[in-house]
Amino acid sequence: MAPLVLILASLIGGALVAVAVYFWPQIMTWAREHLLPWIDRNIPELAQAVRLAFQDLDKVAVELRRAVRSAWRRLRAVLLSETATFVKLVSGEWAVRITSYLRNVEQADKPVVKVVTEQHLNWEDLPADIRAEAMSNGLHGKSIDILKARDRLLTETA
Amino acid sequence: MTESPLSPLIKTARDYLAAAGTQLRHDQPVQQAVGYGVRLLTQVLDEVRTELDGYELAELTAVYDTLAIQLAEALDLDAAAAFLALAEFCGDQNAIRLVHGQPAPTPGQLRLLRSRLLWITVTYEAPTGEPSKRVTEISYVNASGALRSAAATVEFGYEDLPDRVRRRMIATGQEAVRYQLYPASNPAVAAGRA
Repeated sequence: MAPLVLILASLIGGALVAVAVYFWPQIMTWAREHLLPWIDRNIPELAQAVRLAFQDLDKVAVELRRAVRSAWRRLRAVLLSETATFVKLVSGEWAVRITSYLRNVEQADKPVVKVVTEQHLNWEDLPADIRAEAMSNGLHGKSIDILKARDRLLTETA
Repeated sequence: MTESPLSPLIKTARDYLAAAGTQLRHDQPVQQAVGYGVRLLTQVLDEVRTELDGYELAELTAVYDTLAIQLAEALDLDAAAAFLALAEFCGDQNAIRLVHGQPAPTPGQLRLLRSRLLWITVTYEAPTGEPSKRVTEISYVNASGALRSAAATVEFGYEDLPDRVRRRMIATGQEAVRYQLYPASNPAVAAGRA
């Protein structure tokens, strides 16, 4: 069994794991893009690190893994928390809301910054069995702790 | 980047009609007429399906062609080799169909992609009052370890957007739809969960 499945299972549990695993590559992209504008503007020296930090270790060669791990460690110094929450919109569409708290080193009067973005889920591409599982298990409001998942993925993947 | 969502429906309808056609009796004029109509309809459905898949496949080919040229330039590969490696690397079954029967990419080429490529996206944009466009983008690490990104833009008419893209734009009210070709969502991984 892939470590991602195990790690997500221990963090969110139950049948929602399938949905989280399916959308994981997409969630990693959003986690990255959601941080980019703030990092580029406020901590430009982390610009390259944030672009590398969410890369999937399973699929990449050893030298890239090293770069990803080191990028994640650098980003972790300022990223205090990051979660992804599944939300059902009024329109019936689904979205993932990503919420991050970042250490704001530059501004002493506002030491922590909160960033929130929402991304539409391409629900119709989800395989029917996984969609059915998600619907019957109440996906709305369920969250994934991206920081914990990422920390564990990077330490538990060889 | 999958087959048209209509395609399986058309196939099911065609198969039902064909099965019903074999049950018709040929000694009654009415049933003969129905049988003739059913035969014609199944032929029409076959052709519609081929044409639909052909259109989707043409778009898929154009996307992979563009990406292969970008990739070849970025990683100093031959464009044909880049196309083969790309299809395999993205694990896209439809793209793999395109290179069926051609030599497989070498382990060295795949390794190069794994050590350099970060993500591959295709974005369709249809801004109000402007021509629609398709932006193919690859992000990668260059030989000296710096992050780079290469994008190619093609403009076309709104009516030439792939059907599924237009449908998604209408459903979400957004003017852009992006597909992440790599790293891609993986139903096989999700299915092997329990």
